[in-house]
Amino acid sequence: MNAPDAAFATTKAALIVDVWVDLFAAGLARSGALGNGLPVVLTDTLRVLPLLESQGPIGWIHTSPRHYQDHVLIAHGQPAPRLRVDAAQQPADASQMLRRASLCLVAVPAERDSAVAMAALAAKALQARASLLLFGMPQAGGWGAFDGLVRQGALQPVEAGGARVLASAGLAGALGDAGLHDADRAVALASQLTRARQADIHVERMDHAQLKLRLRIDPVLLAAAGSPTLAHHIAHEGRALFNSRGLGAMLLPWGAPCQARLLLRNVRARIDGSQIALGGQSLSPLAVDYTEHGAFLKLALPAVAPGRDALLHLSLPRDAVPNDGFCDIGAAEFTVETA
Amino acid sequence: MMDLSSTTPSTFAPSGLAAPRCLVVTFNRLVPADQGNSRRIMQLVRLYKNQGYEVDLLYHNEEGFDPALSHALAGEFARVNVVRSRAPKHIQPGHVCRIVDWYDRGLDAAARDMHRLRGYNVVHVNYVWYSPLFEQFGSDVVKVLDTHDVFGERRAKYTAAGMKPQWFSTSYADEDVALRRADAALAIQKEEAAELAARGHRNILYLPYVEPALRPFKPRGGDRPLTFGYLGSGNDWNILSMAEFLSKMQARGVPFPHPIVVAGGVCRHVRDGTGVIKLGFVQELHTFYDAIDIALNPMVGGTGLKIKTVEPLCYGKPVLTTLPGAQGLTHLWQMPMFDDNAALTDYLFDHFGRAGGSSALEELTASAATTRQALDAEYDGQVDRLASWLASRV
Amino acid sequence: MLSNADPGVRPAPAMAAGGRRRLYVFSPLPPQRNGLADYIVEYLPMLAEDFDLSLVAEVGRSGAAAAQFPGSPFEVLDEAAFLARQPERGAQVLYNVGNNGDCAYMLDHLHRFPGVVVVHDVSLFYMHQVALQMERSNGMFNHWVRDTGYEVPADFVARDGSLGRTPGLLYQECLMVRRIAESARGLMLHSRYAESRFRGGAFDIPLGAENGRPLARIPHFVLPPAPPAWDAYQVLQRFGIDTNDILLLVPGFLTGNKMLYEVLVAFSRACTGHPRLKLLFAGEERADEYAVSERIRQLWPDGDGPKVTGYLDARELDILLGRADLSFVLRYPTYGETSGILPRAVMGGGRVVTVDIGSYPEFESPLIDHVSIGAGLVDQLHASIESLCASMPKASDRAARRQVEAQRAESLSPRALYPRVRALLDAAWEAAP
Repeated sequence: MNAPDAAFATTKAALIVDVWVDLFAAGLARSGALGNGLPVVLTDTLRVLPLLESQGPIGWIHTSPRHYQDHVLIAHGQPAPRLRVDAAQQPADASQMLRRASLCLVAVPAERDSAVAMAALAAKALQARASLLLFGMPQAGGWGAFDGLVRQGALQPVEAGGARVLASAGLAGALGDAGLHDADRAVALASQLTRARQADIHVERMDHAQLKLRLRIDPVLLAAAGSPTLAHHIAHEGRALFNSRGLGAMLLPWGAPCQARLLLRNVRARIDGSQIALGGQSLSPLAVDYTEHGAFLKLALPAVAPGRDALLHLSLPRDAVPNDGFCDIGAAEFTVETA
Repeated sequence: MMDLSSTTPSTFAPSGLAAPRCLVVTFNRLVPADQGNSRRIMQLVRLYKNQGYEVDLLYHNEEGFDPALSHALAGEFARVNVVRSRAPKHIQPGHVCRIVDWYDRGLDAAARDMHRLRGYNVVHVNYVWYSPLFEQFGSDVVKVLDTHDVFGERRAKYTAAGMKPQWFSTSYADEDVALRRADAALAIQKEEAAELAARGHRNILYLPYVEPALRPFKPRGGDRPLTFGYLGSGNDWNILSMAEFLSKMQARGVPFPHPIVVAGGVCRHVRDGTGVIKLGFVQELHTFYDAIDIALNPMVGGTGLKIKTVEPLCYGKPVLTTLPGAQGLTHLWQMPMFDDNAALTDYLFDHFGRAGGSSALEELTASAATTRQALDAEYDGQVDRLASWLASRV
Repeated sequence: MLSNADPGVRPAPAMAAGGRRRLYVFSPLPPQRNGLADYIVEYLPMLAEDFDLSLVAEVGRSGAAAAQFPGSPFEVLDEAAFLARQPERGAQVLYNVGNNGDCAYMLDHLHRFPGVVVVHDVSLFYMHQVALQMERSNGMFNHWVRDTGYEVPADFVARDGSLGRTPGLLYQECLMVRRIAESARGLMLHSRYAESRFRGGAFDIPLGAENGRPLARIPHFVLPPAPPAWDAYQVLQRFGIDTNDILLLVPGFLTGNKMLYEVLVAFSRACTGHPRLKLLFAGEERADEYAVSERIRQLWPDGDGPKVTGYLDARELDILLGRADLSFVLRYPTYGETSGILPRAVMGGGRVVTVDIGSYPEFESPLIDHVSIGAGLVDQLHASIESLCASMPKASDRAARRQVEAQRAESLSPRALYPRVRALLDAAWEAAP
């Protein structure tokens, strides 16, 4: 591989690290290694880990304010709020959650300020004997805040391609020589999850131990409500709703660059004029296919920039929005290549 | 009844600075809390909150769910999960219900996941057929069951009154198994607590239903005639009771010289021409109670919480009740009680058969105030017992 | 990884050179027929000079709004585009809020992305009500009301928490401003009356720069008078106005709170002694609020009574205001609004009678007389007509009066007021956590 290609591959690897983290953590949970403890994620941006969540509830601790309500599915129930604790507003709750954690995943922030609070929380997790895995871009400014933990010898580097990953000893051992990028492990896990109907994920092996993952996921797990009224409608209807003006937001799995196919339902007119935005970028669909089920929107999504919420915002044309109901996303599929 | 001397220290790790957490499980729609059972449940929610608990709700949706309720519950509870009810609720011949047929196993996974996320110190379920939920929690979680009623052979109370049994009624054996799953089972009436204790249960605590006093007990002023009133929903016990009472009153052959106001869903079942003033559904209770001087409770029977016996005392009004209506409160009742509606009717005509009657009203009001004080004292005492017990276990 | 060169990806506009602070402005925008759209348009050129300006339109309106500003130095965004950029550390937000449904969309943003709020109407009850209706969430309203410190009597609340009935007093008393004050980084109100009521509605929220919420009282601007219309004579003829008539005018939409009946009674008393008097209701009738035409027919069955013009455009209304000898700008009840008609009436050069309640007394001019609401109102209105007839100003002096009022209004022009707006934005930025 020549130097530019290598650089590109390194950058790509760093951007899709949370895909590998999700695969690894889900495998750990499925194997029973986490016991009755709770997997906890420390983050300063809005993210979701759908494969780990297929194994049971996750606790999220945020070190920055968040502005959306997202949901998890309850067996035989209505969508319930995904449990996200604001570490600044609810420090006692955050501490209590960490005391019950068996695994703590730390999404190292892009900036140091946010990472200082996160490092203190990670230290609590270690005190509670939780296994710790830190991951992020190598150049993320937040790494410096964890130097203390590194110096204590509590964390070991893990092979992760272009990303930087540190893990506590037990986890590093579980990761093995292949490190985070264990394609065999990922393929096996995907097969298990699909057979057990815990997730609809298809993993295809590509060159050089790289993978192509296709995830189909209930869109309710990704719907992000910006207003309490919409959040309560989602909880009541159990659908990934747009609001009555046609505005909606969707969490993206992993934040990695991907191809997305979304089925928009109950739209009353063409949606070609929809506004679609991710970070500071406006997006146009690759294709819009109108069927009896609704409008299939095909998108090529860039990576979520470091330090940004993995949120895709959509607004539909006025005439596409019904007067007597809500549009929703009825199906969602994401395809990610790790190379 | 509950032996507080034999409490077992908790093995649950101390939670540090975070508030202790309680999970409340119910099928009742809690907002607005305008039914007896929802009001009782919210009484316990307030109790836990006053003890410093953070309270979550697992709502077993049998009474509807909508965005407004979602919003209202989010304001009351730290976390809310809603599970659609798929309980089969079979009623066997002879009107026998088995707890296994009324408990929804769909609650198990939701309860487990909530506990994994939140780490409860206490789980509080309502009604005996929810006790199987306790199996999802380890011995480190305190288990409280609010019985709301005695459901063992409850059908017999209906048949004794000549009515068809309604709703849940189980065997004593089934109910005993359910009660034994709880660390503490709350009884809403002292008689019920005694009955359950007599069946060998040592984890019973009597906790009466009390709501805050909203009006003082003070003499009536103004030019309004002395007015009697009855407020009740349209359930079978109320319909039967009201019909019998009015029948007895009419049988006297002379009109009662004071207005009798009837309010609530029972109005739909009160015939016209019976000499009462029907208000229908009353949105704000104080508008009814402020318009009357003496509340009537002519119950011929019934089970569980007798909210109409307690509620007038919150509005500063005395209550004339039959014994079935006072069940659970007879040990502290200071006002007259009547064996049946015939005796109640006799009392009314004897003491209020002529215009006036203010001195009798003053005596009744004083007795009502004393009753309220006794009820408050008893409630405070029982709350202290429950709180102490919880503190020793959590 | 996709690059910006890939199809379907368009990067956000780069920050403007010179390091100007980015300002997002939420507002109804042209072509929406909304006074708030007209209001913000007057400040846009100045804001665009000082800020890297982005207007945020309600979903579905950004395209039409952008088309109104071709070649402008600011962008018009959709809500989705705004949200995708957040959080944006170097940016400030301004919310142009009034008590109408076009502002309801801002409720989804102003609590999450706090900014400076221009409060055009001190009661925002109707706006909240419409917002919940639009979101099909009427059942939440009683809880929203309670959150702002009010309790709606239970008789008006349905079991699901929605308002079954909404007595008019609720719109007066239940301002629904507390949460907005709590979230705001700065506040602008237009009058002393509005400020005092707002402070009452935000009863437990500390206001002021020292509390991170600088509050500025900045009057609603007054636009310069319209140039003389070439067809004024024809317009007046169309409405039957002769040179010798003493014209009494009730300008604007004929809503139920403009005391139309009281004006009719006062006129009916005065016109018997002054046959040259003519009363014109210059605006669109709202018969469901007050059937003024029907009432006129009853009081003047011969058809020689006052006239109702029907809808007038701004130019026609200015012609009539420029001719009126006495305009009635009456309101009861008032919702704390700042009248746009009052300064226009005064700049027409004729005398103006207005009420002494709400913010109406705060617009000052020697051409204005105030009347008190109450039992004696008709007598006061009658007296003002008699007073006019007793000392009719010369028509030739009208131009001078208009000139004086135009000069007075210059201090209330958008450009004259803008430095205070800028100062508030800067104070809010400095005070932000």
